[in-house]
Amino acid sequence: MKGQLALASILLGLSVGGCNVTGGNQATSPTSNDRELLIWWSEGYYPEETDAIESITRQWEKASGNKVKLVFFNDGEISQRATEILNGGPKPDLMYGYSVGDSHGPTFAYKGFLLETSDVIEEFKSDYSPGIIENITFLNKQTKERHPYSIPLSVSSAYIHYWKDLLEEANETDLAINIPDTWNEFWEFWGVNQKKAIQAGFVDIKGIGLPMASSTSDTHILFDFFLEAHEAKIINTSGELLLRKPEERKKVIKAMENYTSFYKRGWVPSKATEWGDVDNNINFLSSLSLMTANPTLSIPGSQTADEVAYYERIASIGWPKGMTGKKVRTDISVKQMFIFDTNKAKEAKSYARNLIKPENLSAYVEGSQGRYLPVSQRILENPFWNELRNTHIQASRETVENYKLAYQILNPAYTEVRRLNIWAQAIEQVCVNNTPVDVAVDNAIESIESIFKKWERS
Amino acid sequence: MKISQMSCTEILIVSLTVTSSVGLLTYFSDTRTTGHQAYEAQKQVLTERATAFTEAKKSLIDLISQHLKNPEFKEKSIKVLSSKKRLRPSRPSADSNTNGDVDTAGIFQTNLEAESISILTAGAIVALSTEAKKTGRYQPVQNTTTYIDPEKSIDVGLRFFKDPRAGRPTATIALPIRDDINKRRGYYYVDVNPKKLHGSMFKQNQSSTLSPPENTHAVAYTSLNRITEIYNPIEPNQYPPLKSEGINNALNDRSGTYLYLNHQRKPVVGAYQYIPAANMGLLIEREQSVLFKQARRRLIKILITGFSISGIAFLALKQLKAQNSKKVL
Repeated sequence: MKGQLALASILLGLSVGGCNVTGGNQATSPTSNDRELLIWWSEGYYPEETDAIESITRQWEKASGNKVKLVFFNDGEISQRATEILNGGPKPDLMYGYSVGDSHGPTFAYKGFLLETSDVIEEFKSDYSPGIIENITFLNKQTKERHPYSIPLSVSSAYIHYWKDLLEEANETDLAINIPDTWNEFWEFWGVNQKKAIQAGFVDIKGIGLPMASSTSDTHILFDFFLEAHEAKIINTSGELLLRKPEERKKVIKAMENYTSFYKRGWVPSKATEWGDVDNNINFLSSLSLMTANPTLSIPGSQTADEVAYYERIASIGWPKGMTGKKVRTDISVKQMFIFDTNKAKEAKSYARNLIKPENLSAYVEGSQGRYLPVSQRILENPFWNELRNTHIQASRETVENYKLAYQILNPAYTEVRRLNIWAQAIEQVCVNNTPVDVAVDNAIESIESIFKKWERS
Repeated sequence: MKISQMSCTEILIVSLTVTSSVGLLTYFSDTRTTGHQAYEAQKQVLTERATAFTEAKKSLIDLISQHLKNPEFKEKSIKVLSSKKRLRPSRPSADSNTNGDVDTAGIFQTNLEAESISILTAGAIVALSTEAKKTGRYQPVQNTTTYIDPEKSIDVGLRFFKDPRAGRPTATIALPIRDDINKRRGYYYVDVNPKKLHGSMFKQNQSSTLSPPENTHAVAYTSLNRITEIYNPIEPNQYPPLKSEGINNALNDRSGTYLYLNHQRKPVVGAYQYIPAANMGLLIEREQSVLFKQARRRLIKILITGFSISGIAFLALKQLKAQNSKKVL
């Protein structure tokens, strides 16, 4: 009795004293039925991209009588807002983010945030290029079934660009320069030509514009090519993690040694360890590196207003063959729009159906100045995508054709590896802190294993 | 059980728990009142600063768009853009810096407190800049940069992003330069001075107006997976990632508690709001340890007094009981 009395009194005191008061910080929450359709969209790197989606949206508003609130975010912000959705933050009715498809899509579907989209894309299914449907077919935890959970709009991989005229000036020739297509020789070539360009007077130039930072998703995407070139496998087709296998760990170490060696040898700009998504574009287009690799064709795409730069000065080429001479397969990144489970689902699906009509989708991807390839084979037949002198589009078409299924499709836990940029963190550690590569790789493996274990438990 | 039948220890326990409860209830009531008053005062400061910032940003954009309407600017900038064929920064002698006979006087505003101003080609390469070394460099005109097309709207929220060259967050603005047939020929590009913009929130550089003083934090998504201050007046080169419930709510334009742990894990009273003019969260915070000092003192006083009275009463009762039992014997 004595104990009970004391405990009750103390608990009463503590519970009242520990209470929190919610404040008067006001916010709006779009829940009513008569509200506008809320769309979050990744802002382009140049106005033509934004103009294209705005124009299609306004046309749909007029035709449907619905109102749309189209909000643009930059890469960093839309990615963090997507993470906030997973943590219970506000969500739009529709969302399109350049890297959100790869870093969040499978998790959104797995955790039941999205609407299935089979009914929307059914009509166009047979027209999609190979690999598109597989890359938007995600697992749902509750139903334990895989279905398409997004609307594919365009597709891209990472491409290699270089300054053709700079290379010629560095070599004092007007003749086309032969770039090796074998892995090691290819990268050595840029190191050698850095020296030549400096001798030719381009004193600030570096040979290779690869990002080494965890503050850009590009690092992860490009490192994936190095993993492929060294034939390192992270996940098998059953979704199991393979990194504890000594042979795979060894290959990952080799790939990371290879990737970071360019920085260590002074072939990469020193600020590459601090780059954001747009900074390799800035560096390359400012002629501060001879070559770069970049997800999407945003680099040449930004120069379409200058025909000489677009067609003659900047060139794009395919990836060199891997260490064993095989073609390096690539993850394709399907740029996709998500429809969230909200009270505007009907309007959202109607908007999506309108956007993927060939005439609209074609206007959008071409309006984006060929930054991405269309997912539709019919649109790919348009003259815009078949110009022979356009090395950028030709190289991108070749790269995308040689696709593999992305790891996050095989196991949605890998989206968290991408979101947290685990491989990029390891690369940054090696370059900034001089962490030995094997230690950085082991730290990364440990983090990845812990992410996978957490997913298994959830 | 009647009180007369209770033992001394039982009475002591009841007395101590009543004292604790009274103390905690008083503390809760005091902190609630103080916290709410503090929050209201902070909210007022927050509103003033948000308004000042929004107005400063608006007048900056107004100034720029007015300049772009000037026919002399249009004529000169298009001449500059037409004269530039090939730009490259590393070898200025090669092709860049070919202004030739183009008169560039008055092309850039002098009434803007900007870090630099540039004219960009349609491919976003710097053709002319107040900072000569920028010539030939590429500057994105969207995404990280805030693109404002006055033909559509000038009411566009600024974007802050971490610039690796500057080593800190920055905000840049690009507006299209159109020719007579309305074709986009290039861009007017302004590198905003974040110190000035941040300073616009404060009256005559007065960093605090409350007692005890408040901390003001203007935060934004400045790079992938990172929220930082847009400007750090105390350590202008330090931008560690920040995380707190207040920051999260502010950036997501959400309501929530005003009692929370700040980014340093210290309990604070915080007023916050989303500022659409700059896609940022503004927070006015004060530490609870300072604000609730009086309430804590009062709690301690109540506890000491209560425990002392309980102790004395316990000893007195015990003494009394001992005397009573002796008398019975």
